Amino acid sequence: MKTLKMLRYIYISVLLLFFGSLGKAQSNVELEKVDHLMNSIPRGFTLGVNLASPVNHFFDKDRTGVSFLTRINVTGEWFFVGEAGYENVSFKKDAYHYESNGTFIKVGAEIDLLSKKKSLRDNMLVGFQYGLALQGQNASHFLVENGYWDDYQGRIPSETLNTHWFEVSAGPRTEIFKNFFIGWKVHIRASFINGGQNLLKPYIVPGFGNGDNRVNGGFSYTLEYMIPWKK
Amino acid sequence: MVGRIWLIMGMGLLIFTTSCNPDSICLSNQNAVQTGFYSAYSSVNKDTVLAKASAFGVGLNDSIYSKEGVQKMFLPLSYRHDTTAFVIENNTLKDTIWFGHTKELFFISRKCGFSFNFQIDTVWSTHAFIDSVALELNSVNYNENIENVKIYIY
Repeated sequence: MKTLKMLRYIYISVLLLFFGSLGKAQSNVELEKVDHLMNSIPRGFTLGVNLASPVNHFFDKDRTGVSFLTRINVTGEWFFVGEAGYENVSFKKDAYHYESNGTFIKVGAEIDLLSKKKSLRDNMLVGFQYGLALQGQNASHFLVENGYWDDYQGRIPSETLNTHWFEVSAGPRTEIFKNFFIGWKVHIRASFINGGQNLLKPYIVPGFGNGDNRVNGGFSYTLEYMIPWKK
Repeated sequence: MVGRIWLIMGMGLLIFTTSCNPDSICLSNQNAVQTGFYSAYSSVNKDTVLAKASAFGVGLNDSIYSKEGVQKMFLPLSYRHDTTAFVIENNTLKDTIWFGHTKELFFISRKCGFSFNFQIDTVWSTHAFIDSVALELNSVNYNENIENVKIYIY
């Protein structure tokens, strides 16, 4: 269906090139056809889920979380993107027992590099986003082994952290059923404020990743349903 | 079709990157003062070896070294006290050496947890076979391997 539409568009464009000089009246008719094709591409907003956290949980059972996103088709090529979610961490290892509960929100913009082809069914999205995470964490017990003298045991009471970061992202998205999209992206995130951090660095910053690092790579895997507002 | 191929490639890549997430290696026994033995008779620092040396912490029975030939010793500092003392024995002669220190707790990484860094303030000893001691480097830090104290032997 998509290929058919593209072929029709190319066909009409070729027709315009070859027969553009034949007369003003005929050109106007063909241009109206092109406009009609472009306007037939639906615009709208999507509601979706990012499966990165459930995938992380599969590899690391200490982590639990999920996030939801929306993508609003502002113009033919620009999207507003927003995402909100949570991620909790809980484990008891020899070195320390740890617990963290946190939420995050991200907002930004994405451009579709394939928009020149006037296709909403295949996108190559490149974006820039700002992220904010709030989390509470504590280490109810930690152990420093000495090896000869007595070991040291202690605890880190609850503390609240806020982390701010910027990220760039890129990846493809495609429509697999009518108005249902599936896609993935790689992300590079760099934090610029790590508020509230004292001794203990967060195991995971929700939405950002490894709390040991100021720069993290990451991925997202999204399922989205589009609600069109314009056809 | 191109979109589908991209997606499948991506899924494989994502699983690969998720499963390959190496963390740092955790080091143990990072709380030990590094001491080196030198001849007291030489005008320049000249290494010397204790032929049959033993060492244990004052108040503990377990030996750190037991009748070994050593040029240097790694002596672990106590987390509980501000002074850590050891008896060093060479053949039949015994000396006691004290380290006065402060410590600071720090977080290594999410995999390794916590550790202490130390600052050595003072070092002193008895003089059965030890002529003198010299504090060369105050800090005993995680993942550092530098000699802290020179012990000059008669």
